[in-house]
Amino acid sequence: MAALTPSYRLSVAARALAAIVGGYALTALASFAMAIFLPLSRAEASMTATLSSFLIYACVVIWVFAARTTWRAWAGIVGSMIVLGALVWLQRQVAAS
Amino acid sequence: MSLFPFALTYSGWAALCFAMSRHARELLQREPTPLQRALLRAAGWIALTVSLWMTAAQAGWPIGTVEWFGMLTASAVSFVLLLTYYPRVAAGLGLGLPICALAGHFLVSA
Amino acid sequence: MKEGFRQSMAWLHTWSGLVVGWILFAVFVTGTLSYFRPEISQWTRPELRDVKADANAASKTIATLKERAPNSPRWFITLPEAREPIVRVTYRDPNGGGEGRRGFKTAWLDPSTGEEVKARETRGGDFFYRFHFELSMKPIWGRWVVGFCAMFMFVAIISGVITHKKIFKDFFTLRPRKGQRSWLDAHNAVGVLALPYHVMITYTGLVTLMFMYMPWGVQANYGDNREAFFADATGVAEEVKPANQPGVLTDIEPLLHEARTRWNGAHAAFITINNPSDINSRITIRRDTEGQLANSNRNVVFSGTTGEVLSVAGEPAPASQTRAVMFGLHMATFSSTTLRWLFTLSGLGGILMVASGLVLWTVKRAPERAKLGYTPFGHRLVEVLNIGVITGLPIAVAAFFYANRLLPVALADRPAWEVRVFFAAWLLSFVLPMIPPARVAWTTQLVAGAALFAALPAVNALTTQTHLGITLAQGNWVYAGFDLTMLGIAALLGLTGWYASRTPGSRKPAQRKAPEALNLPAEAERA
Repeated sequence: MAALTPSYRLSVAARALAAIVGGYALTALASFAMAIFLPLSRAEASMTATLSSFLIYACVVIWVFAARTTWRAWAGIVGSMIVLGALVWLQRQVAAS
Repeated sequence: MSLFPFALTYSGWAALCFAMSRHARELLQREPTPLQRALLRAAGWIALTVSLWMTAAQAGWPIGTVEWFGMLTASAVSFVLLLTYYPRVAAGLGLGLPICALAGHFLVSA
Repeated sequence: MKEGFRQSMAWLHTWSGLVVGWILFAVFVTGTLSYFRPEISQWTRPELRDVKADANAASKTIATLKERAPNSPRWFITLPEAREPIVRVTYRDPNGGGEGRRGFKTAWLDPSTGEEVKARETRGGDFFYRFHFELSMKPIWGRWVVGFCAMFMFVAIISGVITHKKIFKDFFTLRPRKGQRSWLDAHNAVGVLALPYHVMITYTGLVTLMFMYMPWGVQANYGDNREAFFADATGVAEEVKPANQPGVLTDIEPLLHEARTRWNGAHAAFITINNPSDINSRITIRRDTEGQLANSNRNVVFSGTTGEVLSVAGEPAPASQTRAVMFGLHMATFSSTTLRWLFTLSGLGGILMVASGLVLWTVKRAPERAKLGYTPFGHRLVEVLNIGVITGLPIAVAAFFYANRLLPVALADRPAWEVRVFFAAWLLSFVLPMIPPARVAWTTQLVAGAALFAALPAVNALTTQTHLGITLAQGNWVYAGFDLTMLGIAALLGLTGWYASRTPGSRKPAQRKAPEALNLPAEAERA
């Protein structure tokens, strides 16, 4: 069993933060993107995105705790958010023009 | 909701359980043959499937499926409890329960 | 956390389960009780015993409302049904304030006369129903806390399945009297055997409040205009403003008949009347959920003055229908009595899964305590919380029912006092667990809970005319069933208390047996 060293505690806290806060942010962005990009009616796309969001959240949390290092976990969250954010931003630019 | 589909789920679990060599050894003190295991497993799955089909025929697929899952849990819990404390009763009911349910059904409708 | 995937999942399962376990236990208990919300609401109002459903309940109710609250902007009418054969109306009280939300008042009417039935003031089954997702906190806070815990629960279920190495091989395995092994077996058994239920109830629970937890999908396409989304998704007609010209409501009975014809004879459950005294009145009739998995919009909307059909809810689109089915599955109001009890059994499985998981945390750490020679504060804290929550909540539930029967009927603020008694009893249940040894507290409080539930039908008999002697003879199964269920709960708690008194305490390390002994026939072990 791992000893409760300060660095261990820090790593657990960093992962918990990545999972709970980072995971929520990523899920929010993912469901936002899904609602925009799904080839369904507006209402159906919003509904599908919201319904599946908890599954996405759970998968993100599992992934964060399964990642080999805490850095990787954070990098994965931030990286996916940047990609999704860019896609949403592009779509908004295209829609506005 | 008739008792027969419930009894079938119980028998299905019992058959699937005794198709596993560990539980078969516990009950019979000997290793089941591969053929016996295959037959038990097939019987188990058939019993569970027929039970689903009967429940759905009675209550419609949406609610029938929900009922079936509820019955699966209820019969599995009763089977595992019996198996732990009275394994012979648990095994015997695998055959006895559907027969009783059928008999009861005909008694009531007669 | 540098170990393999399964180890990280085991860690995640242990800690995500522990952090929210106590709240989840309370959520499972009150949620399971809520399957019987109408029955509890009836039992807590013994004055309603002889009320019977009536075919003309709706028109009698409307006559009463016309007298009482002609200027209320809205009337809500819950029609009688077998489990709760009474009319419930909610309207704005013209004589000032009203105690409920936004000045609305709720009253119970006799379906056959339309007159108010004076029942004792109580929150009845609604208390457990609201606690289930609001924890008696401010609604917004309670809902977020419960949602947070439900999300943890979902993660704990997934990581638990991954952690469980031999899910199929151990499917039927329960090895009693082997300390930690037995606890793990029991935890696995209730978890795995009711797994479809656990997954369903957790996910659909999140779905019931999903627009609050995850507003982003709607935000993306509708911005802040949520009304437009709901109009698109569920087909709920937008509200009409009153024209401020007096109007007279048409007779309700032909409208009910019309609605029932459209539903192939299904019953109406709920009527909403907007602007009842205005020319722009609207009558919305909602069908009941019996035999309907999907809890979707099932409304027929009529013009209140002419009786003309304005809109009929159609079949929703796939995603909306999915949401409706998930919502319906969570509420389970479509169930027959048998199915409701099957749900209850699985709910009990959930209660036992959370409880055994919490106990397992302390049992697993018994060797560590033995090695240290003392009990670390954290272990002690978990133990006290475990006993206080697991044995204390049943005591608190019983106390609520005692308060309902024993508090003076005329007591001011009576519903609040019932709730205070509930929390006081629960809080008291944390005192004894603070005094070691833990086993004494476990046994004493489980037996105390059993005794309280066992005596409840007797106290009911001494204080009301809804006791088993009368209700069984009447065949009044709502009241009789409640009393009998209390005896059943007493038996379950008593059995658990008896078990706790004789199994080796969590302090003693589990007895070690030779590994092959695990495969012996169960008969040999009973010696």
